[in-house]
Amino acid sequence: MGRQGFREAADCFVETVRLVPGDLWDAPALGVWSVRSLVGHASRALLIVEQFAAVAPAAVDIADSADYYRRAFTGEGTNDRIAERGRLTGEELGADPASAVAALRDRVLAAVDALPDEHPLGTLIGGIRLIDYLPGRTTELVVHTLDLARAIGVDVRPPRQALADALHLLAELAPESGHGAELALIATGRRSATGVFSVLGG
Amino acid sequence: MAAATVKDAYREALGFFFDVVGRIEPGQWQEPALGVWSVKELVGHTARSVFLVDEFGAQRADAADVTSAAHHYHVSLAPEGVDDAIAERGREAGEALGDDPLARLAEGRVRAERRVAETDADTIIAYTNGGIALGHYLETRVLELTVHTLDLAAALGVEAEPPREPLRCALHLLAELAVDSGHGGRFALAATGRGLLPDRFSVLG
Repeated sequence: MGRQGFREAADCFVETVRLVPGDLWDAPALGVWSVRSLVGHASRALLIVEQFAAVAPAAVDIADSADYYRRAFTGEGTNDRIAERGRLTGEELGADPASAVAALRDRVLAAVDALPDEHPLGTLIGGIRLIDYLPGRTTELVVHTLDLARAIGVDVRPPRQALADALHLLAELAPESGHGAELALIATGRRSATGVFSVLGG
Repeated sequence: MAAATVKDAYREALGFFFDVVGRIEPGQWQEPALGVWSVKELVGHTARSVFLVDEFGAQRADAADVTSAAHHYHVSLAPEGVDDAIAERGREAGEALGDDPLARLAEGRVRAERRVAETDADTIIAYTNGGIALGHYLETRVLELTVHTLDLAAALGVEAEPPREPLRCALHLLAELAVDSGHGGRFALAATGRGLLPDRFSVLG
Protein backbone atom coordinates (compact mmCIF):
# COMPACT_ATOMS: atom_id res chain seq x y z
CA MET A 1 0.00 0.00 0.00
CA GLY A 2 1.37 3.43 -0.86
CA ARG A 3 3.59 4.50 -3.70
CA GLN A 4 2.76 1.81 -6.25
CA GLY A 5 -1.00 2.23 -5.87
CA PHE A 6 -0.72 6.01 -6.11
CA ARG A 7 1.37 5.78 -9.28
CA GLU A 8 -1.05 3.32 -10.89
CA ALA A 9 -4.05 5.44 -9.93
CA ALA A 10 -2.45 8.59 -11.32
CA ASP A 11 -1.63 6.87 -14.62
CA CYS A 12 -5.13 5.42 -14.93
CA PHE A 13 -6.66 8.84 -14.27
CA VAL A 14 -4.48 10.53 -16.90
CA GLU A 15 -5.25 7.82 -19.47
CA THR A 16 -8.99 8.15 -18.83
CA VAL A 17 -8.87 11.93 -19.16
CA ARG A 18 -7.28 11.41 -22.60
CA LEU A 19 -10.45 9.56 -23.62
CA VAL A 20 -12.73 12.55 -22.98
CA PRO A 21 -14.19 13.65 -26.36
CA GLY A 22 -13.79 17.38 -27.11
CA ASP A 23 -17.52 18.06 -26.96
CA LEU A 24 -18.08 16.48 -23.55
CA TRP A 25 -16.07 18.79 -21.30
CA ASP A 26 -19.14 20.76 -20.29
CA ALA A 27 -21.47 17.75 -20.04
CA PRO A 28 -22.86 16.83 -16.58
CA ALA A 29 -20.69 14.28 -14.78
CA LEU A 30 -21.22 13.96 -11.03
CA GLY A 31 -23.52 15.96 -8.77
CA VAL A 32 -23.07 19.65 -9.60
CA TRP A 33 -19.92 18.98 -11.62
CA SER A 34 -19.37 19.00 -15.35
CA VAL A 35 -16.77 16.62 -16.79
CA ARG A 36 -14.24 19.46 -16.59
CA SER A 37 -15.04 20.19 -12.92
CA LEU A 38 -14.85 16.47 -12.05
CA VAL A 39 -11.46 16.21 -13.73
CA GLY A 40 -10.46 19.37 -11.87
CA HIS A 41 -11.52 17.90 -8.54
CA ALA A 42 -9.80 14.58 -9.23
CA SER A 43 -6.60 16.33 -10.30
CA ARG A 44 -6.48 17.93 -6.87
CA ALA A 45 -5.61 14.49 -5.48
CA LEU A 46 -2.29 14.98 -7.29
CA LEU A 47 -1.95 18.71 -6.81
CA ILE A 48 -2.39 18.84 -3.07
CA VAL A 49 0.24 16.19 -2.41
CA GLU A 50 2.72 18.60 -3.97
CA GLN A 51 1.24 21.60 -2.14
CA PHE A 52 1.04 19.99 1.29
CA ALA A 53 4.54 18.51 0.93
CA ALA A 54 5.84 22.07 0.87
CA VAL A 55 4.13 22.91 4.18
CA ALA A 56 5.82 21.83 7.41
CA PRO A 57 3.14 20.82 9.94
CA ALA A 58 3.46 21.70 13.63
CA ALA A 59 3.03 18.01 14.44
CA VAL A 60 2.23 14.73 12.69
CA ASP A 61 -1.11 14.10 14.38
CA ILE A 62 -3.03 12.18 11.68
CA ALA A 63 -2.34 8.45 11.91
CA ASP A 64 -3.28 7.24 8.44
CA SER A 65 -5.63 7.81 5.50
CA ALA A 66 -8.65 6.43 7.36
CA ASP A 67 -7.97 8.84 10.21
CA TYR A 68 -7.64 11.64 7.64
CA TYR A 69 -11.08 10.90 6.17
CA ARG A 70 -12.68 10.73 9.60
CA ARG A 71 -11.48 14.25 10.31
CA ALA A 72 -11.82 15.76 6.83
CA PHE A 73 -15.53 15.23 6.29
CA THR A 74 -16.69 17.20 9.27
CA GLY A 75 -17.72 20.81 9.55
CA GLU A 76 -20.47 22.74 7.87
CA GLY A 77 -20.17 23.70 4.23
CA THR A 78 -17.44 21.12 3.55
CA ASN A 79 -19.24 19.74 0.51
CA ASP A 80 -19.88 23.18 -0.97
CA ARG A 81 -16.23 24.13 -0.56
CA ILE A 82 -15.09 20.88 -2.19
CA ALA A 83 -17.52 21.46 -5.06
CA GLU A 84 -16.34 25.01 -5.65
CA ARG A 85 -12.63 24.14 -5.47
CA GLY A 86 -13.19 21.36 -8.01
CA ARG A 87 -14.90 23.75 -10.38
CA LEU A 88 -12.13 26.34 -10.09
CA THR A 89 -9.39 23.76 -10.56
CA GLY A 90 -11.21 22.52 -13.66
CA GLU A 91 -11.18 26.04 -15.10
CA GLU A 92 -7.46 26.33 -14.43
CA LEU A 93 -6.76 23.20 -16.49
CA GLY A 94 -7.19 25.47 -19.53
CA ALA A 95 -7.74 24.67 -23.19
CA ASP A 96 -6.03 21.26 -23.11
CA PRO A 97 -6.97 19.59 -19.82
CA ALA A 98 -5.59 16.19 -20.89
CA SER A 99 -2.10 17.59 -21.39
CA ALA A 100 -2.41 19.68 -18.22
CA VAL A 101 -3.21 16.65 -16.01
CA ALA A 102 -0.48 14.58 -17.71
CA ALA A 103 2.08 17.28 -16.93
CA LEU A 104 0.74 17.53 -13.37
CA ARG A 105 1.04 13.75 -12.95
CA ASP A 106 4.66 13.78 -14.19
CA ARG A 107 5.60 16.62 -11.86
CA VAL A 108 3.88 15.23 -8.75
CA LEU A 109 5.13 11.65 -9.20
CA ALA A 110 8.68 12.97 -9.60
CA ALA A 111 8.26 15.03 -6.44
CA VAL A 112 6.85 12.05 -4.51
CA ASP A 113 9.72 9.83 -5.73
CA ALA A 114 12.19 12.34 -4.33
CA LEU A 115 10.62 12.38 -0.85
CA PRO A 116 11.12 9.80 1.93
CA ASP A 117 8.12 7.89 3.32
CA GLU A 118 8.36 9.86 6.56
CA HIS A 119 8.15 13.28 4.91
CA PRO A 120 5.53 15.23 6.90
CA LEU A 121 2.74 16.89 4.95
CA GLY A 122 0.97 19.95 6.32
CA THR A 123 -2.64 19.37 5.24
CA LEU A 124 -5.47 21.77 6.03
CA ILE A 125 -6.51 19.60 8.97
CA GLY A 126 -3.12 18.61 10.38
CA GLY A 127 0.14 16.79 9.77
CA ILE A 128 0.48 13.33 8.21
CA ARG A 129 3.39 11.31 6.81
CA LEU A 130 3.58 11.07 3.02
CA ILE A 131 3.27 7.28 3.00
CA ASP A 132 0.16 7.45 5.21
CA TYR A 133 -1.44 10.11 3.04
CA LEU A 134 -1.04 8.44 -0.36
CA PRO A 135 -3.72 5.69 0.01
CA GLY A 136 -6.38 8.37 0.50
CA ARG A 137 -5.26 10.15 -2.67
CA THR A 138 -5.20 6.81 -4.50
CA THR A 139 -8.80 6.25 -3.40
CA GLU A 140 -9.85 9.68 -4.67
CA LEU A 141 -8.19 9.04 -8.02
CA VAL A 142 -9.67 5.54 -8.40
CA VAL A 143 -13.24 6.48 -7.48
CA HIS A 144 -13.28 9.68 -9.53
CA THR A 145 -11.68 7.95 -12.50
CA LEU A 146 -14.59 5.48 -12.32
CA ASP A 147 -16.99 8.44 -12.12
CA LEU A 148 -15.32 10.00 -15.14
CA ALA A 149 -15.45 6.74 -17.09
CA ARG A 150 -19.18 6.48 -16.42
CA ALA A 151 -19.76 10.11 -17.37
CA ILE A 152 -18.10 9.72 -20.76
CA GLY A 153 -19.37 6.18 -21.34
CA VAL A 154 -16.13 4.21 -21.40
CA ASP A 155 -15.16 1.07 -19.51
CA VAL A 156 -12.14 1.50 -17.26
CA ARG A 157 -10.59 -1.14 -15.01
CA PRO A 158 -8.42 0.44 -12.34
CA PRO A 159 -5.00 -1.22 -12.00
CA ARG A 160 -4.71 -3.89 -9.36
CA GLN A 161 -2.69 -2.23 -6.60
CA ALA A 162 -4.54 1.07 -6.93
CA LEU A 163 -7.87 -0.73 -6.69
CA ALA A 164 -6.72 -2.85 -3.75
CA ASP A 165 -5.52 0.22 -1.82
CA ALA A 166 -8.80 2.02 -2.47
CA LEU A 167 -11.03 -0.92 -1.52
CA HIS A 168 -9.11 -1.61 1.68
CA LEU A 169 -9.47 1.99 2.75
CA LEU A 170 -13.21 1.89 2.00
CA ALA A 171 -13.44 -1.39 3.95
CA GLU A 172 -11.69 0.27 6.87
CA LEU A 173 -14.09 3.21 6.85
CA ALA A 174 -17.29 1.24 6.24
CA PRO A 175 -18.01 -0.16 9.73
CA GLU A 176 -18.07 3.23 11.42
CA SER A 177 -20.23 4.68 8.62
CA GLY A 178 -23.09 2.44 9.71
CA HIS A 179 -23.24 0.97 6.20
CA GLY A 180 -20.69 -1.79 6.66
CA ALA A 181 -23.21 -4.61 6.91
CA GLU A 182 -25.03 -3.30 3.85
CA LEU A 183 -21.78 -3.18 1.90
CA ALA A 184 -20.98 -6.73 2.94
CA LEU A 185 -24.41 -7.82 1.72
CA ILE A 186 -23.97 -5.97 -1.58
CA ALA A 187 -20.49 -7.38 -2.04
CA THR A 188 -21.80 -10.91 -1.57
CA GLY A 189 -24.69 -10.56 -3.99
CA ARG A 190 -27.46 -10.20 -1.42
CA ARG A 191 -28.45 -6.74 -2.54
CA SER A 192 -28.04 -4.49 -5.53
CA ALA A 193 -30.15 -2.11 -7.49
CA THR A 194 -28.70 -2.94 -10.87
CA GLY A 195 -28.29 -6.69 -10.77
CA VAL A 196 -26.85 -9.06 -8.26
CA PHE A 197 -23.11 -9.45 -8.19
CA SER A 198 -20.80 -11.25 -5.81
CA VAL A 199 -17.13 -10.72 -5.19
CA LEU A 200 -17.04 -14.40 -4.28
CA GLY A 201 -17.74 -15.24 -7.92
CA GLY A 202 -20.84 -15.74 -9.99
CA MET B 1 -4.58 -8.98 10.12
CA ALA B 2 -2.60 -8.91 13.34
CA ALA B 3 -2.67 -12.24 15.17
CA ALA B 4 -4.46 -10.93 18.27
CA THR B 5 -6.94 -8.99 16.17
CA VAL B 6 -8.14 -11.92 14.08
CA LYS B 7 -8.67 -14.07 17.16
CA ASP B 8 -10.68 -11.28 18.78
CA ALA B 9 -12.64 -10.80 15.57
CA TYR B 10 -13.44 -14.53 15.48
CA ARG B 11 -14.62 -14.57 19.10
CA GLU B 12 -16.79 -11.53 18.50
CA ALA B 13 -18.18 -13.06 15.31
CA LEU B 14 -19.13 -16.14 17.32
CA GLY B 15 -20.87 -13.88 19.83
CA PHE B 16 -22.81 -12.22 17.01
CA PHE B 17 -23.89 -15.58 15.55
CA PHE B 18 -24.98 -16.96 18.93
CA ASP B 19 -26.87 -13.80 19.76
CA VAL B 20 -29.02 -14.17 16.64
CA VAL B 21 -29.34 -17.96 17.02
CA GLY B 22 -30.69 -17.28 20.50
CA ARG B 23 -33.54 -15.32 18.95
CA ILE B 24 -34.86 -18.21 16.82
CA GLU B 25 -38.39 -19.05 17.94
CA PRO B 26 -39.16 -22.77 18.39
CA GLY B 27 -41.47 -22.75 15.37
CA GLN B 28 -38.96 -21.10 13.03
CA TRP B 29 -36.34 -23.82 12.53
CA GLN B 30 -38.03 -25.30 9.46
CA GLU B 31 -38.88 -21.94 7.88
CA PRO B 32 -37.16 -21.03 4.58
CA ALA B 33 -34.02 -18.95 5.12
CA LEU B 34 -31.50 -18.61 2.29
CA GLY B 35 -31.72 -20.20 -1.15
CA VAL B 36 -32.58 -23.87 -0.69
CA TRP B 37 -31.85 -23.77 3.05
CA SER B 38 -34.24 -23.72 5.98
CA VAL B 39 -33.31 -21.79 9.13
CA LYS B 40 -31.89 -24.98 10.60
CA GLU B 41 -29.81 -25.69 7.50
CA LEU B 42 -28.49 -22.12 7.35
CA VAL B 43 -27.57 -22.39 11.02
CA GLY B 44 -25.98 -25.75 10.27
CA HIS B 45 -23.93 -24.34 7.42
CA THR B 46 -22.85 -21.36 9.49
CA ALA B 47 -22.02 -23.56 12.46
CA ARG B 48 -19.42 -25.33 10.31
CA SER B 49 -17.35 -22.22 11.11
CA VAL B 50 -17.69 -23.22 14.77
CA PHE B 51 -17.18 -27.00 14.67
CA LEU B 52 -14.51 -27.06 11.98
CA VAL B 53 -12.31 -24.54 13.76
CA ASP B 54 -12.06 -27.04 16.61
CA GLU B 55 -11.62 -30.04 14.31
CA PHE B 56 -9.12 -28.52 11.85
CA GLY B 57 -7.43 -26.53 14.61
CA ALA B 58 -6.27 -29.82 16.16
CA GLN B 59 -4.58 -30.99 12.93
CA ARG B 60 -1.14 -29.93 11.69
CA ALA B 61 0.43 -29.56 8.24
CA ASP B 62 4.08 -29.04 7.32
CA ALA B 63 3.53 -26.19 4.89
CA ALA B 64 0.84 -23.69 3.96
CA ASP B 65 -0.64 -24.73 0.61
CA VAL B 66 -3.16 -21.94 1.01
CA THR B 67 -1.34 -18.69 1.73
CA SER B 68 -4.10 -16.18 2.48
CA ALA B 69 -7.79 -15.93 3.32
CA ALA B 70 -8.54 -14.80 -0.25
CA HIS B 71 -6.56 -17.77 -1.56
CA HIS B 72 -8.85 -20.06 0.47
CA TYR B 73 -11.87 -18.81 -1.47
CA HIS B 74 -10.14 -19.12 -4.83
CA VAL B 75 -9.35 -22.76 -4.07
CA SER B 76 -12.62 -23.65 -2.34
CA LEU B 77 -14.94 -22.12 -4.94
CA ALA B 78 -13.06 -23.40 -8.00
CA PRO B 79 -14.50 -26.94 -8.43
CA GLU B 80 -17.40 -27.65 -10.78
CA GLY B 81 -20.69 -28.01 -8.95
CA VAL B 82 -19.35 -26.40 -5.79
CA ASP B 83 -22.62 -24.57 -5.11
CA ASP B 84 -24.59 -27.80 -5.01
CA ALA B 85 -21.96 -29.41 -2.82
CA ILE B 86 -22.09 -26.50 -0.36
CA ALA B 87 -25.89 -26.61 -0.35
CA GLU B 88 -25.85 -30.34 0.39
CA ARG B 89 -23.23 -30.04 3.15
CA GLY B 90 -25.38 -27.31 4.70
CA ARG B 91 -28.38 -29.65 4.70
CA GLU B 92 -26.33 -32.36 6.33
CA ALA B 93 -24.93 -29.90 8.87
CA GLY B 94 -28.46 -28.82 9.73
CA GLU B 95 -29.47 -32.44 10.16
CA ALA B 96 -26.45 -33.10 12.38
CA LEU B 97 -27.58 -30.40 14.82
CA GLY B 98 -30.14 -32.96 16.00
CA ASP B 99 -33.12 -32.43 18.28
CA ASP B 100 -31.42 -29.92 20.54
CA PRO B 101 -29.47 -27.61 18.21
CA LEU B 102 -28.84 -24.97 20.87
CA ALA B 103 -27.10 -27.43 23.20
CA ARG B 104 -25.05 -28.88 20.35
CA LEU B 105 -24.03 -25.37 19.21
CA ALA B 106 -23.14 -24.19 22.70
CA GLU B 107 -20.87 -27.17 23.17
CA GLY B 108 -19.19 -26.47 19.82
CA ARG B 109 -18.63 -22.85 20.76
CA VAL B 110 -16.81 -23.77 23.95
CA ARG B 111 -14.54 -26.16 22.04
CA ALA B 112 -13.85 -23.65 19.24
CA GLU B 113 -13.00 -20.87 21.67
CA ARG B 114 -10.71 -23.13 23.64
CA ARG B 115 -8.95 -24.30 20.46
CA VAL B 116 -8.42 -20.72 19.27
CA ALA B 117 -7.18 -19.60 22.67
CA GLU B 118 -4.54 -22.32 22.87
CA THR B 119 -3.32 -22.20 19.24
CA ASP B 120 -0.99 -19.56 17.77
CA ALA B 121 -2.42 -17.74 14.76
CA ASP B 122 0.61 -18.67 12.64
CA THR B 123 0.26 -22.41 13.36
CA ILE B 124 -0.15 -24.29 10.08
CA ILE B 125 -3.26 -26.41 10.44
CA ALA B 126 -4.38 -29.18 8.07
CA TYR B 127 -7.81 -28.78 6.51
CA THR B 128 -9.84 -29.55 3.38
CA ASN B 129 -7.49 -27.69 1.02
CA GLY B 130 -4.19 -28.72 2.62
CA GLY B 131 -2.21 -26.54 5.02
CA ILE B 132 -3.21 -23.01 6.06
CA ALA B 133 -2.21 -20.68 8.89
CA LEU B 134 -4.87 -20.69 11.61
CA GLY B 135 -5.08 -16.89 11.40
CA HIS B 136 -5.90 -16.98 7.68
CA TYR B 137 -8.47 -19.71 8.25
CA LEU B 138 -10.07 -17.66 11.02
CA GLU B 139 -10.35 -14.66 8.68
CA THR B 140 -12.46 -16.78 6.35
CA ARG B 141 -14.59 -17.96 9.29
CA VAL B 142 -15.17 -14.37 10.41
CA LEU B 143 -16.51 -13.55 6.93
CA GLU B 144 -18.74 -16.65 6.93
CA LEU B 145 -20.09 -16.01 10.42
CA THR B 146 -20.70 -12.31 9.78
CA VAL B 147 -22.49 -12.59 6.45
CA HIS B 148 -24.52 -15.71 7.31
CA THR B 149 -25.57 -14.25 10.63
CA LEU B 150 -26.90 -11.28 8.67
CA ASP B 151 -28.69 -13.78 6.40
CA LEU B 152 -30.13 -15.49 9.45
CA ALA B 153 -31.31 -12.22 10.95
CA ALA B 154 -32.98 -11.32 7.65
CA ALA B 155 -34.69 -14.74 7.54
CA LEU B 156 -35.95 -14.34 11.12
CA GLY B 157 -36.99 -10.74 10.52
CA VAL B 158 -34.90 -9.41 13.39
CA GLU B 159 -32.47 -6.49 13.49
CA ALA B 160 -28.83 -7.38 13.97
CA GLU B 161 -25.73 -5.22 13.63
CA PRO B 162 -22.38 -7.02 13.48
CA PRO B 163 -19.74 -5.93 15.99
CA ARG B 164 -17.19 -3.60 14.50
CA GLU B 165 -14.07 -5.77 14.48
CA PRO B 166 -15.54 -8.81 12.69
CA LEU B 167 -17.30 -6.51 10.22
CA ARG B 168 -14.04 -4.72 9.51
CA CYS B 169 -12.22 -8.03 9.09
CA ALA B 170 -14.95 -9.33 6.75
CA LEU B 171 -14.97 -6.19 4.62
CA HIS B 172 -11.20 -6.24 4.18
CA LEU B 173 -11.43 -9.80 2.94
CA LEU B 174 -14.30 -8.87 0.63
CA ALA B 175 -12.20 -5.94 -0.63
CA GLU B 176 -9.36 -8.33 -1.40
CA LEU B 177 -11.73 -10.71 -3.17
CA ALA B 178 -13.34 -7.84 -5.05
CA VAL B 179 -10.02 -6.94 -6.67
CA ASP B 180 -9.63 -10.49 -7.95
CA SER B 181 -13.28 -10.87 -8.96
CA GLY B 182 -13.33 -8.09 -11.53
CA HIS B 183 -16.11 -6.41 -9.54
CA GLY B 184 -13.73 -4.11 -7.70
CA GLY B 185 -14.93 -1.01 -9.48
CA ARG B 186 -18.53 -1.83 -8.58
CA PHE B 187 -17.52 -2.41 -4.96
CA ALA B 188 -15.87 1.01 -4.90
CA LEU B 189 -18.88 2.69 -6.48
CA ALA B 190 -21.32 0.85 -4.19
CA ALA B 191 -19.27 1.87 -1.17
CA THR B 192 -19.25 5.53 -2.17
CA GLY B 193 -22.93 6.00 -2.94
CA ARG B 194 -22.76 6.28 -6.70
CA GLY B 195 -26.33 5.22 -7.32
CA LEU B 196 -25.92 1.52 -7.97
CA LEU B 197 -28.16 1.07 -4.94
CA PRO B 198 -31.75 1.91 -4.18
CA ASP B 199 -30.64 4.02 -1.23
CA ARG B 200 -27.51 6.01 -1.74
CA PHE B 201 -24.88 6.00 0.92
CA SER B 202 -21.18 6.70 1.30
CA VAL B 203 -18.70 5.11 3.62
CA LEU B 204 -16.66 8.31 3.26
CA GLY B 205 -19.15 10.26 5.32
